[in-house]
Amino acid sequence: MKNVVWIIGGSSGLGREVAEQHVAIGDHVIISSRNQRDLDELCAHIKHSYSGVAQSFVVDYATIVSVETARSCIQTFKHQYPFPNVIYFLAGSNDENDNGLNAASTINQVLQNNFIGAIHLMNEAILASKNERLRIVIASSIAAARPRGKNIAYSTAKKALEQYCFGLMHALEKKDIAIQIVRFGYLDTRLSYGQRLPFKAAKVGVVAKQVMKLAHRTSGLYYLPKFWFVITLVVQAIPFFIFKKLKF
Amino acid sequence: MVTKQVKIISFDQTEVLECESIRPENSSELLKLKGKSLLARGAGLSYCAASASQESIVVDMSSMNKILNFNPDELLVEVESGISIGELNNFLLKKGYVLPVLPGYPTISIGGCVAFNVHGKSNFQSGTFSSLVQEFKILHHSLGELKCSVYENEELFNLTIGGMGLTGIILSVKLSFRILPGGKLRFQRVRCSNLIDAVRIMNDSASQHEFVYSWNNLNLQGEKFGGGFVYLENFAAGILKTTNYKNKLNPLFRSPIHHSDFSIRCMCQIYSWIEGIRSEIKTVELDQSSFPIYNKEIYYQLFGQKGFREYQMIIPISQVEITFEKIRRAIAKHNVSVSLGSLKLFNGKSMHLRFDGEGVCLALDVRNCKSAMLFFQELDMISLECGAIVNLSKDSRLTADMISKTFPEYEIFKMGIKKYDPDGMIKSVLKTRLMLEV
Repeated sequence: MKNVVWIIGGSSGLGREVAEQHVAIGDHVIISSRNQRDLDELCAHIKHSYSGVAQSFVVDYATIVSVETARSCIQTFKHQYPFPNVIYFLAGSNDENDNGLNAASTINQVLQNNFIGAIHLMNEAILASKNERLRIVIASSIAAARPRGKNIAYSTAKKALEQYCFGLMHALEKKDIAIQIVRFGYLDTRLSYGQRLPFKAAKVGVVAKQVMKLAHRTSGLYYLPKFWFVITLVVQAIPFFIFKKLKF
Repeated sequence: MVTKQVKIISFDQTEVLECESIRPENSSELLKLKGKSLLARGAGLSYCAASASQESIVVDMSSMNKILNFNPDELLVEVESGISIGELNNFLLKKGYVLPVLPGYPTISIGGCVAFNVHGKSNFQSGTFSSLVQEFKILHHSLGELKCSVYENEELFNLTIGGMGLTGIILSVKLSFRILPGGKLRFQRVRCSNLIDAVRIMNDSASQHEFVYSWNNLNLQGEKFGGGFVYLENFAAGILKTTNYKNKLNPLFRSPIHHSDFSIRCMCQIYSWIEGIRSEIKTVELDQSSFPIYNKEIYYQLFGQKGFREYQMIIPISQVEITFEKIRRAIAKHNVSVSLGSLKLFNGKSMHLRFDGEGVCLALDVRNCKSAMLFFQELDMISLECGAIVNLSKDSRLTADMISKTFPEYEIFKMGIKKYDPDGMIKSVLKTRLMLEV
């Protein structure tokens, strides 16, 4: 049986690749992002490039500020599309000003776009699934492994998201709902574009295939590309008096 | 969106710049940049630094690569400008269609093809890339998103085709295509004794062949000058094969072992011998022969860190004989070794600074050295004497003075750029060199 797949944050980067690859294998794909035009353009591209069809549904984490807004979003979705059995929460954003003593607005925005919006939507999606089989993939970041002077609010939001998901894994242990947390290393997206990185950014096409395989595994924390597990271990083991001198 | 510092090197290796750059992934990100000083960059394979600027933000369009509309009934396809020509052509091939104009390398972006009005080896039959462009959308820094065609914003439409990215960011392009006549190419090679002989064979064969071009050894002197082969190709029946093209032309990588004049002459002679003993008629795969430079990237890498220089000119038919003789003398005088000599027939009309016209296009490559510069200066003189059109995208040395004398519509183009960019918001190294700034 083909999957119904909902990709939140699917109009560009890794999300776009995941969407295209799911359509390529015949899954029913619904793509969400903040901008209707971006979604229409990607859906048109998918329609012409693959034999399958992708549909669009606008979601903006910035507007999912409460249980009510999340519930309304899920209800609207259910009216339009069949309920998915795989959901990717890949949306998120960082802020160039998130580099130290941030303004409250920056902190709020980064937390909203990377944590609050995602958990509200995830909660409501789980409730709406009515204990049917559901696979959830959550995008985290290696930034969550060890905070540093840059992207403080972002790494905090991702760590909080991970913690929340671990809690859900425990709570949903007896149900057929699996949650995969994926800590992504450097990916070749606009975020890494032009940066002098200590490790090569992975191609999103390759990573997308690995993410799709993970979706059907048991709940857990994964690293993509996989070698980032080793790098994270090393980074976490560095004493703070050395870590504080590192620039990356 | 945060800009990043990137190093941009012209493909001929002669210009290097550190630029502020961004890479948007969809329309909404790009449209947010309205009002900023922007310069589009496609695959970065222009021989000159056309998409480099230290004053404008360089917008890497490589992620804007979607197919927006496909209409087989009207033979029209609309794509984002960052899609590569190889990717688009593969898409069409799989559906039984083909783009009639294909430049030499598959990773060149559609936006780049428009901005430099590129040509292929089908020039006599199909014209330059402008013949395919039906409509495009452009992001103008103050007017926002504009639709341009011969029916709407015609002046901007004409300025943008061959406009070197100086009118704004091309967002999407609507192109015409044709039905694919066959899945393979029937390839015929005819020996020519010199350049004049090559032109004669090409003229005689052009109307019966889709693709007509030549390889000429310009290191030979006397009556053998330009001896080589004319290649004549037509579509043939057969099972289509497509390739997922990868960009192997990285200007940042050059071989530490590089050409000398001696090795260039040897390479040309060996090529000539090998071609001479190969079968004269064969059927070849479309994916390989559509883009003749693909899988031959080593040719460029062997020019080493100093790079190379290319000169392309469209010589009016009436001036061909005398011009070839002048070029022969110039090669002998400056003692340069020409690594590539090639002819194509052109059958179009030039407008603004587009590389188009009626005549014979001669392309030649030399390694970048002092004598090459002197040789190219003499080629400039020869070109002006015979009324030839030169190719701006291939030569990072051409001056405003030379261009203004070569192109009758230089001032019209300059005024057009001024009209649509009165504050000089779009800046590029090429624009400065050609003195097109306000």
